[in-house]
Amino acid sequence: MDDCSAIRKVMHPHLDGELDAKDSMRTQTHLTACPSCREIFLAEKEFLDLLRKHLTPSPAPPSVRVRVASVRSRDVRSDHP
Amino acid sequence: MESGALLTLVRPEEARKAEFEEITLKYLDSLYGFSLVLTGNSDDAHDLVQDAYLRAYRFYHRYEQITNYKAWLFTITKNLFINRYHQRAREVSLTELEVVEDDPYESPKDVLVAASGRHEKGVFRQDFQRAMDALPEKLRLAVLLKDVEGFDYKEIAEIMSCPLGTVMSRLSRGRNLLKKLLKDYWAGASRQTRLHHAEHAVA
Repeated sequence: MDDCSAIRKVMHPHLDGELDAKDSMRTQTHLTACPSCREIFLAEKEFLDLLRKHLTPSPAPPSVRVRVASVRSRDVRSDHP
Repeated sequence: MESGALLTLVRPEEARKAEFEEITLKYLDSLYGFSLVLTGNSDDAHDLVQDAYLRAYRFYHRYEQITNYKAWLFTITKNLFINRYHQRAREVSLTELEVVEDDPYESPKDVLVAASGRHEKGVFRQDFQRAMDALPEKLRLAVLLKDVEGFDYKEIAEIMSCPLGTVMSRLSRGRNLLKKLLKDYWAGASRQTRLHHAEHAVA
């Protein structure tokens, strides 16, 4: 069985769906067998859910929308970089 | 394929503009938030977003093969920032943050316990934003691109022009620091509430 410190390092990649199938399976197997890692994993998941729920993009000020709208009124093809 | 190219040639300019807007304007809030983190101030963020849209519009005229418009817009924004703004204003802060500290691991259980007493609507969002603002810039960018914008690690590495391992390390450190900051805010708030109650009880 993998040791707990190795599993704890990959908890976030596992939660983010970034582990390949083999590593994901190994992590899942460990979590099923190890109550203390499972408890931390579930708390990490809960924290990330909370974070993502409350950190959403703030609306851009209306002045940004006005500035961006001016882009389409330019003749961009004659505007050299 | 050939008929598609032909359609592009004869498509009226107005239709192209409308199509560009429909595809890109839905990311305006996200791009402004990203620009604000990069530049650190609202005036430069306005300029950066406008320049990014101008550049995107130029390239949109030339290419039809863009598969991920959101990642494409973020990459344009970041490249413009590096070229035009970075050298001017942010050189010091960007380099000094390369120092990697060995932050102690923050238990998610502690922060959840501290959070349990703070369920007022609106307050939570303010606390998360305040903690985000307190993160070092590179860690904040990693958390923004992953947890706010939902990019995967590979996309973040491409947007930020850094290795995948760096993305993982910054994300892990950023989230860990957020836990610490939030735990401190919330623990402090409950201490104050308890004090407040105690004072009332005495009075």
